Amino acid sequence: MKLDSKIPAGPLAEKWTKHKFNVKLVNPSNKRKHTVIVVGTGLAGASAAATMSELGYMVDAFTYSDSPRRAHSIAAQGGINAAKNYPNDGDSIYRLFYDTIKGGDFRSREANVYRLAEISNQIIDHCVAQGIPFAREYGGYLANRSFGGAQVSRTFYARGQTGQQLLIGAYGALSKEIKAGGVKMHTRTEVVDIVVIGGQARGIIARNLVTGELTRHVADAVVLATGGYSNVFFLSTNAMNCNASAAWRAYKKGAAFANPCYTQIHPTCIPVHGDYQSKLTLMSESLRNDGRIWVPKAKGDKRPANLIPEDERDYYLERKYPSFGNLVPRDLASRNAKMVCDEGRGVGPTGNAVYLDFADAIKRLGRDNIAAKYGNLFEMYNRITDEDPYTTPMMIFPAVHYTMGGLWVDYNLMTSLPGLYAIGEVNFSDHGANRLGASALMQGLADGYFVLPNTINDYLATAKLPKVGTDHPAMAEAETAAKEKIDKLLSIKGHRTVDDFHKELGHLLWEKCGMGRNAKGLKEALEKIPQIRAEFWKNVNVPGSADDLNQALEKANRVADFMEFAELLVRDALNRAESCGGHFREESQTEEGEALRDDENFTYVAAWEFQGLDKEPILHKDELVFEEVHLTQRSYK
Amino acid sequence: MNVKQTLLSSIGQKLLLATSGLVMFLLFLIPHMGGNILFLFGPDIFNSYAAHLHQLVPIVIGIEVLMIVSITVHMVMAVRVTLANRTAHDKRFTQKSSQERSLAAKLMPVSGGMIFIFIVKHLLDFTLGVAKDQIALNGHMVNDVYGMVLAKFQQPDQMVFYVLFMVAVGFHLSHALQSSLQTYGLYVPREGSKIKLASTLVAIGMAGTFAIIPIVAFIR
Amino acid sequence: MSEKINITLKVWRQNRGEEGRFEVYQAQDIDTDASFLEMMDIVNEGLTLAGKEPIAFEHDCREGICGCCGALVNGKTHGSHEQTTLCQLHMRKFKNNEQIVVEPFRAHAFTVIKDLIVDRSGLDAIIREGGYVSVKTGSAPEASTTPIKKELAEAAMDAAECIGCGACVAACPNGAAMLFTAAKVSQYALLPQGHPERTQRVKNMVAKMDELGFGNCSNEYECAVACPKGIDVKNIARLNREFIKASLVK
Repeated sequence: MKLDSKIPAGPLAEKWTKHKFNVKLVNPSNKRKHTVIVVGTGLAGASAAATMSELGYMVDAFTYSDSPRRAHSIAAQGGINAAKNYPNDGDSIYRLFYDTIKGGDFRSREANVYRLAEISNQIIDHCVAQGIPFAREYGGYLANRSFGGAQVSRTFYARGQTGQQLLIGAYGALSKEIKAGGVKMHTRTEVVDIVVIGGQARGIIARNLVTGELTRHVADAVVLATGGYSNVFFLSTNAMNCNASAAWRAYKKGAAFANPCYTQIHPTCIPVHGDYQSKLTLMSESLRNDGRIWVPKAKGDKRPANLIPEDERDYYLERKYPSFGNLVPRDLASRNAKMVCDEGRGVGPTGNAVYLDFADAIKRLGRDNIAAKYGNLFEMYNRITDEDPYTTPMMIFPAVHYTMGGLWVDYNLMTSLPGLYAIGEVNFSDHGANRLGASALMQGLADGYFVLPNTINDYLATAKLPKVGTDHPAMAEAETAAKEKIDKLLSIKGHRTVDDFHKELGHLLWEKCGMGRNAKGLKEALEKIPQIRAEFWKNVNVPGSADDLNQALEKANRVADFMEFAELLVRDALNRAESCGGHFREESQTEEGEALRDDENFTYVAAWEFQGLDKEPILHKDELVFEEVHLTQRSYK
Repeated sequence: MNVKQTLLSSIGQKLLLATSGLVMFLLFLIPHMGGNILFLFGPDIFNSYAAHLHQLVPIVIGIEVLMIVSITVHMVMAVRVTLANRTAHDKRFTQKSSQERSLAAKLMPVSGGMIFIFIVKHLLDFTLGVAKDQIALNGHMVNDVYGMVLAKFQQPDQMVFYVLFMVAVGFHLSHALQSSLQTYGLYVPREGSKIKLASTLVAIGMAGTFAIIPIVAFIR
Repeated sequence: MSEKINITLKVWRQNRGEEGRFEVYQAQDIDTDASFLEMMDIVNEGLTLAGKEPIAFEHDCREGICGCCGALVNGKTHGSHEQTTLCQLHMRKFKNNEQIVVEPFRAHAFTVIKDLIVDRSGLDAIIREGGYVSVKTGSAPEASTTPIKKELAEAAMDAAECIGCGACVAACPNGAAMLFTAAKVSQYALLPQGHPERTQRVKNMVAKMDELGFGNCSNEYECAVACPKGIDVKNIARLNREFIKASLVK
């Protein structure tokens, strides 16, 4: 496998414009002769499917949900970044580009990130035209708020439901195209394999989740928009059904997987409260705009928050990072929370929590103001914890939230498997080793509305695409393999549930490959994972049948893939002996405990090529070349 | 959507229901109540009112035609909507109504059906094919409508029947008035609505006024 | 503080194409800090290990925003009428040894697929008839070209918060989808971007709603009580106004 990132030559600011000119186009009347499969209908998938249909392509869109409106993009609360500079605070495309590169700890591609920053403004224009009710000032103009990792206010928002509103906008566009006949929507249908014919991705095998039927779908290109793999940790802020299966199948069929160890631990989540817990709930990062994070200065101080006097509190982020304060990037906020808890200064019944206190903000701005900004978040917090954040400080703790790693893609967002594209969180492209807040929505929509619909033309116009039907032997073979796997899962009838295995795997990963990682722990995990996997295949209990709606079987299928994927994640974490962004190797830190990069040895994207389950994958180093930005030790002090 | 499709859509049918109901309320129920009140002032005034009404035959006939149309539209739409709603609502074994849902709203089809029965009986009692006694009034002979009403309500069962059915009218109106305004797009809030309150008060007032006649007649 | 409670769960079980029935299960030692769906998870783990099929129920984000979950719990949609989705309902709302009855969201337009899972695709079908602004990618003007009064943007957002869970339909005595449809029609009636298509939008969406067998609104407001996002019947009044206006326009 040879990886070519296909980054266009020329000055950074002109690359995208030039590239759009250089890609081959498909004649409008020929577009309807091409079928594209889009898997996943979140922000990236829905926007891509809708836009490609607008252009004239025939699109088959797939979602495991009952409706394309349910994808987990919907849960993004805080907002979406754009370089509009409406507040006149010195923002620009270049600054958004720079902040994103720096926030990603210099582990992303300059050209991709610059394009993202450039497109960010078009996204806002488009979303406003779609009738998305963004927050506005009294003058009727769009409002902005600030977010972690930036010193300008560039985040557009719709209350605490920005992701929901943007997704509903993309879902509206998709609905429009379904109505127009350009998109055929397959709901309650999950991809079980990618079909490769003649070295090209030419289709998928899907499972109808209601009837259990396996169906074959052929296309000229396949687009994966299936999101991240946070759920490999069992407990994460992702939706329960989020999974890595499509990406993993793509990997096993020849697409390289890049930087799987880059996982983002979000600093402001509601702490774990019991072993029955099914998922973690995120509290928007925007809360850090007005909330102050602290723990008691003394170890083991178990007094209630209101009894701890001001001078016995440690506002550790404000103390250590005076210029960014509570608004440091996510990885720093998370790691510092872990550090104070490890020191024994954590609060709450488990000691694994820190305070996020609004008392000062309420005093300064008034309760009504705070309620208007964060009312729905406070309500949600109250519902889950039964505590009132207006009177007692919130308790928060980091949780796995987003994965920067993903399928390796070139500048066109095509994976190393020709004809297979990856957009949104499922690709590795834009966030480096750490994603800034309000950038996920930006990337999903940039990929779906603006990048892919431009770059996919190039492939469809130039690739040789011989006619294939659903009766192709490769199709039959993939279907048989999928069926065998399902039958195997159902036949084991062991003594442990799927969740039980998933929890064991997730717990191991969180311990050994979570907020802090070291060689010893990672090696232990590498040994342990195949054992868990082996036991899974011997002792899992999947009830029900294959030809029915069977949620346990769906879960088993996904967890079986996590069992394999986890190994790659750990292997990548072990390989990357430096600390960067969300990947903190305890061996590589400054004297003050900050992440220490090793630019000399690790300024590359680690892209892994599958060799078989029992063999070590091949590591391809896709070097990162910085023409514009000077690599520095990140400082938010 | 053409006109027929518009009128037979869910909102169209509701608009027809509301409009026919309001026509009956404004053009029939209110004037009728005004006339009925005169019963309380004795035979001369009431008979004189009835005689005058007789002289306004063209208007009365106009209103009667309008009434027949309204009743027909109201009933056809009510039956269509109710049947469609029965189908649309699947059987739910455990559902609880909230506090918000008034008894009046729940009973609309029942109270509506009762009112229909009442109208038929009412027409048979006092209008259709009833021979009326004559009585002298200011030197003219006029129908003794007062006597007829008095005689009717001297019978306890008749009096009770009328009063009971006025309760149905009250119930029907209390939901109908506010509901029709919401159907027209005039927002009637869920909680603390003055329109809802007014609707209830008008309904009680009207049903009460109508119900007083048989009671007074029974006592006299 | 959390405590442990025991629950008797009486839950609707139904397979595709078969008649349904209630079955009774015991849920022991449930932490009152657990969510309702976590309690269901625990029951399902038990059923699986006992060789029975777990209860099928729809869920995904478990943060109250995706709109997947929902059931009639003790006769109430989403188990409470406190603007909460089922996933955000916690066991502290229940008493020790209480019996909890769980039934799917029912309406003629929502057929049961399995156990508590119903088919809500009708709601998507209504949206397809115009619950969007027909703008193609690339044709939008600069975002700040049209100022929008803050009050209007806020009112549009109030309507746009709908999560499409279908509780309004399941709570409506007539199985109507008026609140759902009204929320979308309102959002675009309030914002200038929605105006070019407003006439067709309301007509087509209402026509589809009728065609799919959703019922008629009788202004009883059960939908608004049930709505986990607090969407108000003000929107239904606005839908009615939009419909009247659209009918008067040629």
